[in-house]
Amino acid sequence: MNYPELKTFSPRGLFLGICSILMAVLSGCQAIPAYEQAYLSQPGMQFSDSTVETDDPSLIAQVEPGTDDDGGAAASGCSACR
Amino acid sequence: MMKMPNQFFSGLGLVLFGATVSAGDADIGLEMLRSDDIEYRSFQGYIEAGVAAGELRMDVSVTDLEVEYRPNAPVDPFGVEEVLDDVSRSLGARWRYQAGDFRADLQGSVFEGFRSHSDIWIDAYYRQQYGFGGIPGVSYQNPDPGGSSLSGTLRWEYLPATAFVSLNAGWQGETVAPGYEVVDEITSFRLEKTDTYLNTWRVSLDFENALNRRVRVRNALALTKTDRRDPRYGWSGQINVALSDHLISRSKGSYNREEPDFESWSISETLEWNFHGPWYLSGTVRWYDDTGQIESAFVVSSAAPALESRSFILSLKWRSEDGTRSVSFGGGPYETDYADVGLGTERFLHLYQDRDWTHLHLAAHIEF
Repeated sequence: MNYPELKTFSPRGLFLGICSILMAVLSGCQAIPAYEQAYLSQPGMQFSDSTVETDDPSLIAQVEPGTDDDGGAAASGCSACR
Repeated sequence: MMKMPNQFFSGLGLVLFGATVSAGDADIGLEMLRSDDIEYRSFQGYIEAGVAAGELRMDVSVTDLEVEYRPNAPVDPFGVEEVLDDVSRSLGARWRYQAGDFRADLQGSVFEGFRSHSDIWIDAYYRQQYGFGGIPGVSYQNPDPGGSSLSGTLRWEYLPATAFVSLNAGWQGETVAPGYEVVDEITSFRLEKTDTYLNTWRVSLDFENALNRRVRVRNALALTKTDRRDPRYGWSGQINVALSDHLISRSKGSYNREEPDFESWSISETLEWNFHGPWYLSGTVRWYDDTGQIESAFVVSSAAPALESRSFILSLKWRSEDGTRSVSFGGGPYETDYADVGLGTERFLHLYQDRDWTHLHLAAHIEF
């Protein structure tokens, strides 16, 4: 009887596992009352779409194939790489 | 005196969205990235305002790209130097609706033009090689790159102002400049080209949490699938920490993997110092590293070799005391270092050469 080969190590599984643990550890489980949110409500503490609050140049996504906002998968510049 | 901009944008909002406009905001950004032979100049902006049943946002961006194309003479003796110029444009809209703890976004965009200097460089190479016939098969065609996208996001605020989870799903259809290759049919040669239309599907899950009164965290997992390519898995994370009343730290990281061998990492650290009243000074250092897209050094390919980059950006910001207006100006050096090109990629030696870039940006934001 043939059994499917067992994979003892999967980099993808390890990566997803680490991310899952990180997210579970770093997730808040208790609401922070409004009177304690003075620091959190500062503009520099927000995750904002504003170009004023962006730290990284958006144009570098044109240079780095792993930084594309769309995941980099469109990459028409690499249309001949397969 | 400072009321005038608010009145102006309110008036503009009335024209754009009808008579029931409520509060909103507008944002514009100018950016430049240039090296000795490549220059990007971009404008991007949006205006967002409340309308009868939600919020409507319109986005626009225009990027002017200029490239000094140089063939690698030893392997491309008939190639000629030329200056390539292209303007890419995009227009987008987003509708947002809030119902209790849930928020839904529906957004779409259309765009045209080359997305990067690599795209226009590779197209110039193929135009010079195959634009004048000579090999049986398909003919070189002038590309008309562009496309459209649609996506939707559902966010649940499961702890008030503290914890959020978002699910995003989207599609993008894009016409790209094709690649060409000469196929050896033993007794003759024939020219073939790759697909010109690619669909990309993407789904992502975002978690945003305030851990305590000084720490805010965001994590995102994404899965992207483009026609003819393997799925790409990605993680990105950011942690913002209020170190003191006047000092904030923002740390970011990301990792992407695409079979068979592409991996990329990035990490950045920003320190923002409120040094006087409404004035802020921030410095950002950033590292990026990838394994490159080349599968075999001996296969003729336009795929990029491994890339390392580093940047340092210094920014000066002004934020009004009521938080409704802000301006930022800054810039700094950006350095890209490629690994050596392989035998199959040496025709793109000058595309994948190391470069020292300069970055500048100017941005403004207003709430009305």
